[in-house]
Amino acid sequence: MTKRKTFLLAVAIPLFILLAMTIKPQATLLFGQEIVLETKAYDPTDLFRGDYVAINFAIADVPKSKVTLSPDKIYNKNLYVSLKQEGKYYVVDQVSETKPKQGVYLKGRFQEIFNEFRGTETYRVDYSLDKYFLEQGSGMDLEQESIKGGLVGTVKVLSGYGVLTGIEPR
Amino acid sequence: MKRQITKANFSLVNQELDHFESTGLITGEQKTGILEIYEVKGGLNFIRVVVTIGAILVGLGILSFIASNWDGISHLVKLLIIFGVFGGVNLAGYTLSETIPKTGRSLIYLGTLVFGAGIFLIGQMYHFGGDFPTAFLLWALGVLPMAFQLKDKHLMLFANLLFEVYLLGSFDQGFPYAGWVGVPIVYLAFNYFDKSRLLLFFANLTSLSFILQITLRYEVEDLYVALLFFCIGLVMYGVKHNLEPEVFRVQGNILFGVTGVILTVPDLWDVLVNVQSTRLVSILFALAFVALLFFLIRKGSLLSLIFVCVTIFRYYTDTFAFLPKSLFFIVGGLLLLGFGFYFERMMKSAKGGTIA
Repeated sequence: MTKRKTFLLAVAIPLFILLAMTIKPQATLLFGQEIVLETKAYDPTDLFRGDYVAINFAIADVPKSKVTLSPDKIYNKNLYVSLKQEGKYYVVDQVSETKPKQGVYLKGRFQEIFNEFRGTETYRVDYSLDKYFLEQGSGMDLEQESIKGGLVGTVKVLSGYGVLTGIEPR
Repeated sequence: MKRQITKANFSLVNQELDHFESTGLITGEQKTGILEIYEVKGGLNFIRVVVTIGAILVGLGILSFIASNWDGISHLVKLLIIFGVFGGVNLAGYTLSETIPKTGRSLIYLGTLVFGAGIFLIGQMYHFGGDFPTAFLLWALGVLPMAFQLKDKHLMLFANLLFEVYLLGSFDQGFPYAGWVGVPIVYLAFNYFDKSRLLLFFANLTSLSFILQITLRYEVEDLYVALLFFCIGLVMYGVKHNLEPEVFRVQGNILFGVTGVILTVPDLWDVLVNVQSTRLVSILFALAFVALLFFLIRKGSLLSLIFVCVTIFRYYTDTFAFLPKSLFFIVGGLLLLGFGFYFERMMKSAKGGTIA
């Protein structure tokens, strides 16, 4: 390869990485199913991505009664949490190791942390849906709303992968 | 390709050629011709420093602009701007590489920062959760091809640092195999980039970070982690080989020095002995550690002297009662004074006044 071609390649690879990063979330936005979840929020900052609202979805706490797997198959594992609609919001239905054949479900990592506020009755699940980025300075209003009466988050879901699309007062 | 020599050697060559010219051995033209073979290496080039810092500032500005999440322009337009700027600076960097190489190179550096801004913009667009350590892995992957293409060791160093940030930021998340692939790459790079000592230093740091990541992933007890790194440090310091021994010695010395001081903390030892004896065990370790440091100081290791001072300071600020601490320090100090006196006198009588 000539020097010119390898240089082009070195420029193209980063662009390709950027494009590849967008495929899964963009496909989810385009083809995913929209669900509404209950949440609470506060307003911190990330050095590179800026201000965000940290959100804590109700479905991130999965009651132990919903999980029938043995403990060594739960902690630090990625499991599928099936959701069902109850009224306006989606709530946890059941947890499985394999991809459910139908319905709405999210892939999440079951974390091995003891939570003294929630006691030992629930598992903590990380769906990577805990940050909503917005313009610097505009997160405080949402935080206030959250203290007053909770927030509602909208998520697009496509085969277990979720993308946050919106967050607003209940 | 010009021959690269240090500034001191260059002035020596220059001086000698002056001498040859004055004695009529060579002509003035020949002298200039010979001098043109050489190029002074290493020294900081002012223009290069200025343009590189300029590029870094612009890059940080763009990163900060993305983080501001200013909603005056939509995400899609921002992404297109990132693509445009990335393509633009690289194109400009390439075209300028022959005529104005330093500015050209700095534009390519800017490109790598713009690429990073693109990663964080996408993270923001789709509200990626978690701490997003993957961003640094992707950033490193994107910088790597350009580093190899241009054989630019500074870009390689940047990629290496980004990879290290990834390793240290992704203990329980992240891809478990990234380190198995990444560590060989940083050593390959060291070999490919004219065996730059700087790259070896950071390649070693990357392997150490990777080992730390593995120990944390498997929840190894703190004591064993510290002991492991203490031993690695000793091996790096002590084992003789021909691959830049100086780099390994310095890193090994720092590593076992720092972990040695950490191992003097009594609480660490409670996995091995019962709670009542942790203090005793840690003090025994500290004594052995300081003895080792003295042995190395005698062999000429100045860094070990620093760690002796750190250990003393660590014990002086400890929560011992003052009276036993006073006794401990006075007795220790007297012992050292006594040994020093004994050795000095012995050597004086043996070697007739010279102290080695």
